[in-house]
Amino acid sequence: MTEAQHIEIDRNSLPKGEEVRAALTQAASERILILDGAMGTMIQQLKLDEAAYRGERFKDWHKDVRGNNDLLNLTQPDAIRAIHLQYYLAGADMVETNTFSSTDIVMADYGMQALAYELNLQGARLAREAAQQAFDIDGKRRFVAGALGPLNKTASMSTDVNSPGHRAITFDEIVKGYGEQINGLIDGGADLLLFETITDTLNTKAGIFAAQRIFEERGNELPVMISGTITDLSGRTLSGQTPTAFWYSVRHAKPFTIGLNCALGANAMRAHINELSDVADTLICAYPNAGLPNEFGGYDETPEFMARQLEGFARDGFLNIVGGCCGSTPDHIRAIKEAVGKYKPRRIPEVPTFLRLSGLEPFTLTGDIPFVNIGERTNVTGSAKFRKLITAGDYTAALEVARDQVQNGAQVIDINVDEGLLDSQKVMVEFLNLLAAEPDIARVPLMIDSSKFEVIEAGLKCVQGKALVNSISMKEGVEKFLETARLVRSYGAAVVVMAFDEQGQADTYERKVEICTKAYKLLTEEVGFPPEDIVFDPNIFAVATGIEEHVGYGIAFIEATRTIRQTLTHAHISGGVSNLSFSFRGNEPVREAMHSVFLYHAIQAGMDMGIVNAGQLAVYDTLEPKLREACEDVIFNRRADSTERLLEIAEQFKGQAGGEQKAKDLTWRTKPVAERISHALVNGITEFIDADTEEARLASARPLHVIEGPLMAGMSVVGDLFGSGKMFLPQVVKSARVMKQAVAHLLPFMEAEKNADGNATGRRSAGKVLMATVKGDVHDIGKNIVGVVLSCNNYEIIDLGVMVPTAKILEVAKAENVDVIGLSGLITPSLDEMVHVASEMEREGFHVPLLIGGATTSRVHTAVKIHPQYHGGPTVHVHDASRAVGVVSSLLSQEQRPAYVQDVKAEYERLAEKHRQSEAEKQRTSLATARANRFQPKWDGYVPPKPSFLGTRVFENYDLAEIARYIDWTPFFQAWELKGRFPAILEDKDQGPAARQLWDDAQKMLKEVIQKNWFRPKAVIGFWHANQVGDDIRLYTDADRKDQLATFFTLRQQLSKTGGKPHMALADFVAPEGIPDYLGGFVVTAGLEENIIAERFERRNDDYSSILIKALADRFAEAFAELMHERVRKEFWGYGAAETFAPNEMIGEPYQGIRPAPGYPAQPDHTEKTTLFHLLNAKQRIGVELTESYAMWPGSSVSGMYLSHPESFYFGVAKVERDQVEDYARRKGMAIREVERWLGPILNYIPSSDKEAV
Amino acid sequence: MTSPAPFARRATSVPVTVVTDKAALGRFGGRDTAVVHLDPPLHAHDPGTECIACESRGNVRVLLFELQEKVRLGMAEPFVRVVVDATDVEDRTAVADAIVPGKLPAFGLRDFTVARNFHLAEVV
Repeated sequence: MTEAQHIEIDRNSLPKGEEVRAALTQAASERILILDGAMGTMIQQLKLDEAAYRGERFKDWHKDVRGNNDLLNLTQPDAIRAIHLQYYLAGADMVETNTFSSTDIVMADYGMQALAYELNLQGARLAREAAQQAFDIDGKRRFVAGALGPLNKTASMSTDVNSPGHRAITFDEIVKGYGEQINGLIDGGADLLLFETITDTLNTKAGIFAAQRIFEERGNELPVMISGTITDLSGRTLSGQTPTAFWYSVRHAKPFTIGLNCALGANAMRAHINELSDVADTLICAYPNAGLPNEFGGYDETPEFMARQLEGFARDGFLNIVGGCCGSTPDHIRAIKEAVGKYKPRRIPEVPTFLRLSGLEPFTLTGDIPFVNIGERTNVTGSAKFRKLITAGDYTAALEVARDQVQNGAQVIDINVDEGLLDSQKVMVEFLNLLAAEPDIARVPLMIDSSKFEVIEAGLKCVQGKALVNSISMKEGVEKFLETARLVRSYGAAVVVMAFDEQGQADTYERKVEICTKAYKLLTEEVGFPPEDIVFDPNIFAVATGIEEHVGYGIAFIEATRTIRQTLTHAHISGGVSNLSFSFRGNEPVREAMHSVFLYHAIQAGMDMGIVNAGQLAVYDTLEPKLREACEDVIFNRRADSTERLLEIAEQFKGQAGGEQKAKDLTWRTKPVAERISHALVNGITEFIDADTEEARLASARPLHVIEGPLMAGMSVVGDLFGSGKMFLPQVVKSARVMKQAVAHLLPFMEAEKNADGNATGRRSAGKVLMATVKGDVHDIGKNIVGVVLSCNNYEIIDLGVMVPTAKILEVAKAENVDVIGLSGLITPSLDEMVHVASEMEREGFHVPLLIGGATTSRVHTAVKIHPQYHGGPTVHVHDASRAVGVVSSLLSQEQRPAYVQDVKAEYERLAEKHRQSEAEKQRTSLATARANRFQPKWDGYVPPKPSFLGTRVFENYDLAEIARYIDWTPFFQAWELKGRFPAILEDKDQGPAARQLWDDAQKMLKEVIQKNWFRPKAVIGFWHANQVGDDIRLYTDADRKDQLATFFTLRQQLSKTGGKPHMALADFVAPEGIPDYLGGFVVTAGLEENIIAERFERRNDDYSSILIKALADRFAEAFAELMHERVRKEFWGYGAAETFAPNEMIGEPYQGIRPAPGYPAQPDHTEKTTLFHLLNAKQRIGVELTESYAMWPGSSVSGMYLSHPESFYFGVAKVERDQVEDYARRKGMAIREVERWLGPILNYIPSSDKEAV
Repeated sequence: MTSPAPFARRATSVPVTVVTDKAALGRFGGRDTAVVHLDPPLHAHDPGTECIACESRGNVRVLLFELQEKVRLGMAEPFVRVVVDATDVEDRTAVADAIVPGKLPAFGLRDFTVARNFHLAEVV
């Protein structure tokens, strides 16, 4: 009979958990207890064959069973019992049952899932019988540990890195599997349970959940031992947790022991056991392998060797229970027992009572942490952005939000997906499963937040760490409260309890304290909740609402907090602070002040957690005293008229924000010039600067004098020469490099001086300039150059880098009290972003000048779009770096500023007016007219060439020397503001010397780049079936051209044309339906390395080389695009196979076909890149991605389409009319407003949204 | 709008070159290159039953993860490319397969980390 057998159990004769625990506790207090060694190693020595494994009962089993060691409980019971007895007689106090794999889940490998219960029952019985035999021999009591091994599937990870959200097994299935095993073990007479070789903590949490239920049903709670396995050098479990995080995750099981087993030998385990020994307030159990397996599959460590190592554990006081895992035998156990016998068992340390949570890493709320800021950006009710992403199912971006929060220092992150339109339970599970695969997010503990307990419970089944639940309450009565609390506890989470009962939310001090006290009593006494795992939220409500009942809400919370912290030991207080200032929506300075005042007092009263936007908190001490006092009056309800008074003061703060502005002293202290230093600066020579600076320092009273003397004087010569056009940018940047080196030399002396004499004053700058490339844009060469030029002129530069969000710009500007803000951007969407920054500066009450620069910016755009948004201070367009110093110095000079600002303002208003007028007078061509005059090559008889492959292809590891041959150097000199064509520029009368020097430096660096393989260019190209459909290019999945793959939308010229010239659109170059034509696409990149290398130079104070390498990387990307285009023409598309142009001849584009890029004149719509990147899968294949403004990252990348038609050429769409925008929006399925936003710079009309604003 | 697959290797993903030809080994190395040597297993195993010790010698994922950990802990120099010396390993395709996401099952969280932070550049 091979089916599972029915067996009668007399439950009364089974071991009683309480008695076992008492006996074991007693024994463990006297000595180190001994566990057995490996079962597998002993079975291996029996050399059983397939027939022996099968025995009589399974002789016809349909699968091979050799290797199913647990099956031997049924087929070779005597052998197994004998092994147990050997271990008992070798000195083991307890043995593990031979049931490592006896769950239906693992047994499914052998088709034996139905036998799971029986295997456990018999396994426990055999160990029980051996224990009795041993007792009969020597009269000593032995124990049986029911072994529960790891599973072959995990609940916390996917087995496929390509679908990280997938799970092969659920928490509930594991509860069922382990549940059956536990019942078998208990019925077979196990004294205790041992979860061992744990590789996935969530699996074990399900096992603990099952055990607790069964203990409760049976009214008999057996002791539980828990033993994890650390496999990595990093000291983590396979599922990624540190030992301490692992302990926090399973601590709710109140295990009899925690420990580690298996993996490498005792030596490798030592540090991790030490760690657990320090944090665990329970017994420690360790049973390592007998070293490493050797060439023959045996184990290296002899009994003596292993015993000596474990003796070290015992001597150092880490051990309560010890045994062996793989490779250990009764001889090992005998030796270990002897070795550790002379040592006292480890004493359980006093572990302070703190809230202890975990993700992959532990988090402890110690007394050193005054306040835990819980990240709220992943809460759909707290973040509109997150809600949008979750609703759209864009989990990738949603995970980025989570990642940002952790990177910005959130210690716990709140996850809430309660969105009415979604199945929030499903979304919670999907999101948490994906999040679990992101080690840099999953390292922090999670707050699982929902108003629906089903959602919380589903979430708890997905997390291996110890989470915090938000929240439960007595809203639906005590019974429901206890039920949910018990569940939270069995999932091992801590809990937030809202002060809420059947009568409603507690609003008075008395009700808050009463409800929390009642909940505390229920939780700690009835549920057994550890008090440190309870967090009360006594409800923060709005104050200063004008409603009489609300006046006491602030003080009620603070006082209730104080009382709760004093009377309800170890419990915590949390709350959502933003409710408080609800009635001041729109007045951020006052809201911030209220929050800051409230938190200041609430934290003193004992509030130690909260969901707060830390970026928007004013510092209590720096609040305006009157405002602070008014806030305190309201919060503490100190006066009858406090609301009125706050309202009154609030008016003054409306539309303002901190950051008062100070004019800086412009005068430099000039001293006699040291000729050599001046020479070095003007000529950019670094060679002797350290020695010269040192000499000057020795001759000066203080190191500071060297800077303010000869160095500054020299730089002022540089500034003058540059200003008068006698020096050029590359030379100035080199001068700056000399300056930086000299300052770096002096810094240590200045530090030493400061330490010796607290009064020493620092260097005085001419003013602080904040520079940033706006959000969505990655280009920074121009900005860096301006920064260098300004710093040469003694301005302090705060460079926030690229892709800087508005909030960050404003925050830093305030914190650093800057004198000027400079914005930079290269791509057209950045223009819009700059308008946004300007309007935000206005909203926040800034007064500092705003500078606008970058390739797409213009005086007209600044005048028409940006200038009108910002009234607090002047807005100035800076055309190039050489103008920057003049503009900034005029703006910061007390004398010059008023007149200068007046001039600029008048000029911009005139420009804006002119713009409006010319708008009105424009000649406009309708879209219909333009279409009728489209470009129509002769399609009759034309056979478009067919590419050699369709689909995509990736190119990596390209030879840099090969690419370098294709570099077009003219734009390289342009980047340095040297104007002229290469190579003629090298011979230019004025710029020649500077250009030649730059050329030499560039060649030197180019050589190094090529020799050392500094760049790793990559490309992906593709070809698809395509046809023209109206103004669009439609792509098809195959040659049938029935199923659409994607569509590229193109824009048509609407300029007035003369001489019968057609109105062009890119679609005109593709054959209409009926003639099989093709379209290509590409993305190439120089790679991310440029940034690493540029940073390296910056750290060495070498801005010159840093800018040089970036400019070179740009050239490499362009050259690589040129090279790939050539290969496309000659090989992949093949129509230009006969071409014979040399690389330097290609600059004039003499060949057939074009490679226009979205965002450039022929197709000015950047958003078309999305389609291109999607088709080419550029992010995954070559690591190039698009920012929110459709800039490419890494910055040195080029993308575009390939068009093959012989008559195709580059043109500019120039301006488009409203009719085309409407038509385009309809074709593209985008809102008109949205299209207008992206096409802003080429609209030939004023969009209605702008008109409203004006 | 559909969301792209949630798996995405990082833009900073490090290219891994697997070298199986002893003669070619000399071409690789230099600054910013980390070299990982794969040792052959100590003894034979049935497929899928690699013991932990052999695994730690020959499992390229474990070694790449540990390499990254070492850098994080300041025990090794940062690198921008990795060369895997697989000249002593018999099953070279398995080494490459272990670096291609999804080709072989993931057993631990580290496999996800490796998949995101490394990619196969070429097999020499």
